[in-house]
Amino acid sequence: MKTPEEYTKNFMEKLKNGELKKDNLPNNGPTLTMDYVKKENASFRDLLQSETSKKIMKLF
Amino acid sequence: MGEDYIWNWLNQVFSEEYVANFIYFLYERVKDFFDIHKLENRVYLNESVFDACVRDILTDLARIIPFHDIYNLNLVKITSYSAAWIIRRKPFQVVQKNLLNEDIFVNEAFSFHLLYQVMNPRDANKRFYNEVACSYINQVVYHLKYRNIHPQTIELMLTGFNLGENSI
Repeated sequence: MKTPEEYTKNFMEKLKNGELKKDNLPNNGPTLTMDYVKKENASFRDLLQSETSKKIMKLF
Repeated sequence: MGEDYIWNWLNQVFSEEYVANFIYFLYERVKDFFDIHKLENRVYLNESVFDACVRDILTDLARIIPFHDIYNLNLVKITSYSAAWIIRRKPFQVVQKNLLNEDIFVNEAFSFHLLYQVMNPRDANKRFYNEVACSYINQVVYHLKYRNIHPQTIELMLTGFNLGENSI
């Protein structure tokens, strides 16, 4: 096992060499533009005005 | 740590435009829910609690961005965190003494609508009373009403539901 000094030195070298980067996850979301917000909120309003929404309220 | 620090930090993480769009996104839904279900005189929206709710949702989401090295959050994540914080903070508050059941759980009902839209993004009436989906939905409602809510469990639930829907 390394000494704390050795481990720290080794760690800092890996960091300097770019070996500790996280894997980038895909950019899997939409940009929250106002156009996108209005489209999604119109869909939400359709849900609220539907028979399904009345059924949902009865579940609570 | 003061409120100014938090909002300045949120504006830096997301941009001022993103924060404004998110507030519009959530508030318009709250208002439509309030109006369409005619909650006036039974329930009111406490705007101070709603403000705190917005702050808590964005602060929680902001911590994910550097952790996962992503810059656009998907709708499942945004919705999960919003639903969980609304149930925790309860911005809808009851004003009358003689309560309807749906008034007691009005924050949970609103949050469920947020989740339901993500479950069925294209068709509001799609297969709601399919026997399997109905049983699952009843379980989700029970979870929202009586269990400890965490955004990550809601996120997992939404992802699981969408996987099932897509495999039918």
